[in-house]
Amino acid sequence: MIFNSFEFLFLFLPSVLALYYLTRQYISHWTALSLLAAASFFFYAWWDVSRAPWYELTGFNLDSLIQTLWFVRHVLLLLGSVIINHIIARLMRRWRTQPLLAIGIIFNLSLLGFFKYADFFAENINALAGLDMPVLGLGLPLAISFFSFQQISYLVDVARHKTDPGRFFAHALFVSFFPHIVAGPLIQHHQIASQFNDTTRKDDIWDNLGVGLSIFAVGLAKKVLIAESIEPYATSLFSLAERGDAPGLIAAWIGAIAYALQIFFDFSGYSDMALGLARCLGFRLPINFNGPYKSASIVEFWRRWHITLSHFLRDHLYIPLGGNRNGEGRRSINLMITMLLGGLWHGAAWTFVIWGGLHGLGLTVAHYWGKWGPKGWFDGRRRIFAIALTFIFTTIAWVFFRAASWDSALSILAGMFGLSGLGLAGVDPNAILWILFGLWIVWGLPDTPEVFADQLDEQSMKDAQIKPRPGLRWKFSKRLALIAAGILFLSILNAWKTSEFIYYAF
Amino acid sequence: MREFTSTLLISLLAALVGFAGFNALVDPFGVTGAPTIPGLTTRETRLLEDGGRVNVGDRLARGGDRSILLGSSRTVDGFPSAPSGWPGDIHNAGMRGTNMFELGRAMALGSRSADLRCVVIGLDLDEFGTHSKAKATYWLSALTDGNRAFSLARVALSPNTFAASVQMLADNIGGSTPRTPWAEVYEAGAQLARYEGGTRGIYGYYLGYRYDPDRLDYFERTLAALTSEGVQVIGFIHPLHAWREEAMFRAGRADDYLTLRSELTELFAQYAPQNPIDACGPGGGAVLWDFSGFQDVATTAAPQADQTLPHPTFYEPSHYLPHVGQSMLDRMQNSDGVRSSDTSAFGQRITPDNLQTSTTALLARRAAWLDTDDGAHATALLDAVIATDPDPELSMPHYLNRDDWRGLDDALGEITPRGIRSER
Repeated sequence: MIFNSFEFLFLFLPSVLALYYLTRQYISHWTALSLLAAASFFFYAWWDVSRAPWYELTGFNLDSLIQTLWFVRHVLLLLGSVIINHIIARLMRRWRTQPLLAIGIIFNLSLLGFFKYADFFAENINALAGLDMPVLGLGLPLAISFFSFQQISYLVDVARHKTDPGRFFAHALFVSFFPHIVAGPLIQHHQIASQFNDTTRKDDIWDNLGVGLSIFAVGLAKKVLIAESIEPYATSLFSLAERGDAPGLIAAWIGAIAYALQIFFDFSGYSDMALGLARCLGFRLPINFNGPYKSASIVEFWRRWHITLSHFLRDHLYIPLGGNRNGEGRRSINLMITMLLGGLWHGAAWTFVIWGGLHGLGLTVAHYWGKWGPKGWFDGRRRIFAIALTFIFTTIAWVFFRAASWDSALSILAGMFGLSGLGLAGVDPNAILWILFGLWIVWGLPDTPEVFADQLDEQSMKDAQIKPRPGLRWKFSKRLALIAAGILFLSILNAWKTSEFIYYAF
Repeated sequence: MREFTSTLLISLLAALVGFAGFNALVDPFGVTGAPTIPGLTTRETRLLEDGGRVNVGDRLARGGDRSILLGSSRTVDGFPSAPSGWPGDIHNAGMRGTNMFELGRAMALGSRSADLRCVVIGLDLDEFGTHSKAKATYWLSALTDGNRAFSLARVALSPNTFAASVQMLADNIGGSTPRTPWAEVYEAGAQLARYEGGTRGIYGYYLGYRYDPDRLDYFERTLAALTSEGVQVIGFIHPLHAWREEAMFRAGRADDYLTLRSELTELFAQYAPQNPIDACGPGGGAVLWDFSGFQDVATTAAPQADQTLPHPTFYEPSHYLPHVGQSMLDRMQNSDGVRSSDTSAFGQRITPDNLQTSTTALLARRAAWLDTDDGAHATALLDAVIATDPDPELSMPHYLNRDDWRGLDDALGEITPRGIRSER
């Protein structure tokens, strides 16, 4: 089920909202949370359930039962992961923490490694050593990258005594909460546990729905009206390159910038929707994006792009590796390791590793420049050059992120550096218009957290290091209610032809 | 805040209900079952336009047809709406401007019905090019997910439906029709102008044409699934008027055409051994017929300058007339008794065994036609076009993405299995 699908918008969401609030009002807080956990598992299971060949079942017998369990294997995997992590968390509280934490982390990384990287490593070892290790072709369980990290975050928080293991279904809800399970934002357990445990919270349904639906409307519009309109121009370039064609300078830059914009509007649109949906239920999720293409350096970019992943990698990888405690050289190595693994987390392919490596390099250079480079070069109005350079760098790096192969990435880069001619033939003027429109939004307007700065709680803004500047703000006036309704209306009318979110693949 | 939220929800709900209600009531694609409003919705003028795929998707999702006839506008216009003589009847499910992406999904959706026995599908280079995968109304139709209820919701909530609704109301009130494919009588010169204009345009189209091998793979995956579940797939390559075929040759696309023809032959031969549950014509699980390549129907001379009576076989170089389509259906059942590989008959069944012979015959027919007055006329026209060094008609190439393949796999997974089909 995707957020812009009919079944989600008109069936799942209204039912869950109604049931949650009625249960919380008339039964109990904990029953409402259990119901939310069950709904979230249903949301996750829908991918399997809606695609399973149910006609193969032959009636009520053992074979059918086994087949049914196979059809819903991914949700069972998720459930199994919750059970085992919950047991480990409980044991950690009773006995020594460190060995159990290590076992828990190894378990989660093994699960991720087995499903996501086993074939990648087998193929590479076969290629390098001439072996014939079997390639399992298991298929990637939806969101395994995200929920594995969620579980690690949970165990670490419990081990550090930031939170209790909590009730089982509250833990299950933390991992499976439908607004964020598939593509984040990555939540640290302590960020949400206090909200789950707050049994006395009074629901202001009008406020929750008003703020939540407004943020959701912005996210839906980003995805449906902008990302989907730009997608064909990006797909066209990358498919062309995959077929061995050499795109020229103009075509290559148009396609690459189209992808940079597509992935921003797609992923930040998803994150906005997640925030909005959680808010409709009265929960606050951490902010994940804050105008990343306004960054004047790669360091700043990672403070604005996929903020929760940056925090996770910082807290659970970079700092344990030593961070910046042992000199510049060691910091560079730690940065590079963090970003290479961050790249690999996105996908089991060398192109993702290269993407991560480029960002590691960019971060290292940015740090050296900050320390030893000339001061004040990019201050004041010249900041615009730094923003442009950062955008060009990230756009070039995206080529590796999106390309299906090394060859096609190189072919596009050759085009971008002018090695394959001008490449004007077949360039669609609409692509240029969409890119200009996208860039105007990216650079000319504040991103969602700034627009909703008055409605988002202070802690979320502080965690994301956002200091909103004066500017466009969402006001809860009648006029803006009509605008929000208009945005939702237009987005719903155009929602039918949309594809899955890019990050669903990770 | 209460006022804000209630305004938002009420205005959103009112807009959705009002919009959906209007579209459902006018029902330009004939899927909601709304009653006819005299003088406003009596004539369904948009049913066979681009939105026709919504109607096709709805019909296929409902199931019940024994055979379906798929293809582009050549199928919509080139066959009777209710062809005769086909065993158990055949439904003309052609869709204007379609291509293999849509056709593959239509094949899969139609095969969800246990009643389906045969799919007859028209093919040519157009279906395998890199132009747009689907018309906007495709995304509304049940072709996308096979779910009629969801499709109805999408149709009701679509700006495309709204535009078609307004057009249909205007057509009914103003008495206009969207297009007239052919007429009983033409003004002198009008037909020739259409042939000449069409050929010039087609030359530019073929100059910019790009073949997409992924679309052939897409078709193969569909063909494999259908034939393995007992559905007979009868493919045919559309006849095109010799002027259009010559434009294709002169634009340098002959290699693409002959390669596609050869690859289709191999593909169909590969799945021919699959045993159909109830075949509609001879030849096994997958059969390929070729009606293209300068055959008699296509080399009937273009209209004369003063001709007012319609051309007997083509109303313009890209589209043949329904009686031609009917004769093709008859031929594919082999009801005329002529040997299926006879190169002198209109339409031959091509297999790897006779592919070379039929290609040689095709090239010989072209050479013979070029020696005729009609061939000379077309040559002179194309020479004049080429002398102006026209720009190729380039459009941004569209390629199948991850969702397209996954969607196809999902759709193929829902095809009724052979065991259940054979029980019906």
